[in-house]
Amino acid sequence: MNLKKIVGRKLSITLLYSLPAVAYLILFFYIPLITIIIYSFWHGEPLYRITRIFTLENYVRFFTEKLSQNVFILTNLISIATFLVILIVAYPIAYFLARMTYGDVGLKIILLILIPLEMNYLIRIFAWRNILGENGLLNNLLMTFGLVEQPITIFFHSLYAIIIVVLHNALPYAIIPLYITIRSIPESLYQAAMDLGSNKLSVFFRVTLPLSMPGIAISFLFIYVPMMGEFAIPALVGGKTYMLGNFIVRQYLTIGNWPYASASTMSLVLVTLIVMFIVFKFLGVRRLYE
Amino acid sequence: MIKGVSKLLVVVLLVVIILIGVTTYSLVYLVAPMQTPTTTKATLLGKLVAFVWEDFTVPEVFNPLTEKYPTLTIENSIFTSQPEMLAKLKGGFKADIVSPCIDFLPRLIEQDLLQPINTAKLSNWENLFKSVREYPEIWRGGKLYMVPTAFGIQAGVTYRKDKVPSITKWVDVFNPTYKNRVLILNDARIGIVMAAWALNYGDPWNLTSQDLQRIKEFYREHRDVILKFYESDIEARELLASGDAWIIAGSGPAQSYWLKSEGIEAEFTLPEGKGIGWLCGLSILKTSENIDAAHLYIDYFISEEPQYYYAYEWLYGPANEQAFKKIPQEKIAESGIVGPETLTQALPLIDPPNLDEWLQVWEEIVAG
Repeated sequence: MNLKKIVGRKLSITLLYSLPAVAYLILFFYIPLITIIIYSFWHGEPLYRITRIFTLENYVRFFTEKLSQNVFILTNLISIATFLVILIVAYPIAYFLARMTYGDVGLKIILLILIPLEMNYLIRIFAWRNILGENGLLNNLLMTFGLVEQPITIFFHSLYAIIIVVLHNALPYAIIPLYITIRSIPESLYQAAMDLGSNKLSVFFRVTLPLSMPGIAISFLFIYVPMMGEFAIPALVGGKTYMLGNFIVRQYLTIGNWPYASASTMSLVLVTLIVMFIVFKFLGVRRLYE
Repeated sequence: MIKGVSKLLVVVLLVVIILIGVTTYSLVYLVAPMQTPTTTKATLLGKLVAFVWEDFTVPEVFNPLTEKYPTLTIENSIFTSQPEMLAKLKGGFKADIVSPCIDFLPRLIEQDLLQPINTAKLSNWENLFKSVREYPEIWRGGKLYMVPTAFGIQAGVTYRKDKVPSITKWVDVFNPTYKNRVLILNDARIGIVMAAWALNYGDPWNLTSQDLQRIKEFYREHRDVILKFYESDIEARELLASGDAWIIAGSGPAQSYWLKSEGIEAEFTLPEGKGIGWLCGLSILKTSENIDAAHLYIDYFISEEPQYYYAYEWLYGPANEQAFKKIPQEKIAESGIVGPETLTQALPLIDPPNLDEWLQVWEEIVAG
């Protein structure tokens, strides 16, 4: 009886504590999400003409229409390419901080890397517009040092500009999980590998890289998932580049086909959930919290 | 331990409840009396909800209105696009006034969202240009549904004179030598009409599916010249000023005026004399509960002072003839402010019969 009372009280206190968070989630996450799901099954036409009848046509259209297919494939390619570029830059930094610094120096440097994130997201993008433009800082430097005679235009309003800006924005999100996983690899494993005749390169490919896969997987999720829905960076520095985020925003705000926009959004959520499942299942992410 | 924690929790909750109570009391009983004099006065003209473009809320124009009618309480609700406005109204948003443009007016009338306007209640009605007052699309069945406040021209071309020799035909905009230098307005109707002009279509509002496919192909062939499909005039102006872009296709004359004032050699032109005219105004919604105040509001915005302000500062063509006459000739010449003749000369912005197909084709063009 006493035990029941104690358990009951514990439960009620836990429920009470969780109440604000649960209420917040229900109001600002689940209700909007459910609304989007309901809309996605209605019939819609441009300029907000909506008929409240159940239909799967929006999902069929999203997965079969050439336009959405192309935009979806392009967005995936850009997201993966961006991740690879970021990984190439972030891995050496994380490796250096985890393996070649002593004490908490690595952590302090990571804090310094995080400082730019304190700046407003849009201001950071606009700052890059000034750097990458035809008369921007980058071109001025290249011309001053005589590296180019004419301003380079490929970095402005192009796919490259998107990758550069995302690289800057997302770099810390790649460095941190990589740093944590590399640092968690026991020193004894390196010594054992060396004792068994491995050279430094072999140690890296046989020990460091496989054991840092969970960090790579988490970095991938941190970069790939937001990139799939990104619309501000392509709109501000991407020029003609048209990504899935821009497609959905236009369906909602300009064309006014909310059911189709909702189905596109839910399809995107579905695809990213599948990718997340695969990453968690097969890339050893579980090792991070075991 | 648990007992201690739950006591603490109860104390925290009590403090929060007391704080909320005190704040609510302060807001209701301390702040409200400060507004009492206004509220008491406001009962004379009452409250008016204006669902309008941001233009109608600028302090230079809005403050004199509230000073002129101190007993009128105006609540502004702003929209940024007409589709957004229509969606909100269809969703049940209640207001007295709405500010549509001529292309969306038929939709509002047909969906029974508007009520007729009584010109006898507008002291400035007769001061509007006759051609503006008699513009056919603002009337339906002998009843007036929109009082025009401003007009102008869009879908012209603004270009850098120091980079581009001249633009005389629409096809010049797509000259391959302007690789990555052209900004195209991201609007299905204007974007397609501009390409139709480049391809010499006589009636760009009547395009068949084949014509639309041809236009899509035209954009695909000339995609290299396009820097981006722009949505913001300010961004387009900034890109032209920085030299990253040389041509804006789909702009009004104001862009070149502002660029010139910043020392940039910019020129506005209507290639082959072809452009699209716009006409916007104010309407009274069916949901209006304060018809008299709604008429006062409209009457104020077509009076001379606000009309002159929008013409002189924002370069809108004023509907009020007296306001137009007051603008110095030099200003008209250098800024490109247009007169009401534009409404008959330019192609009016309307919905093509196959608008859904236009929207789909435009999405394909933008996506490349």
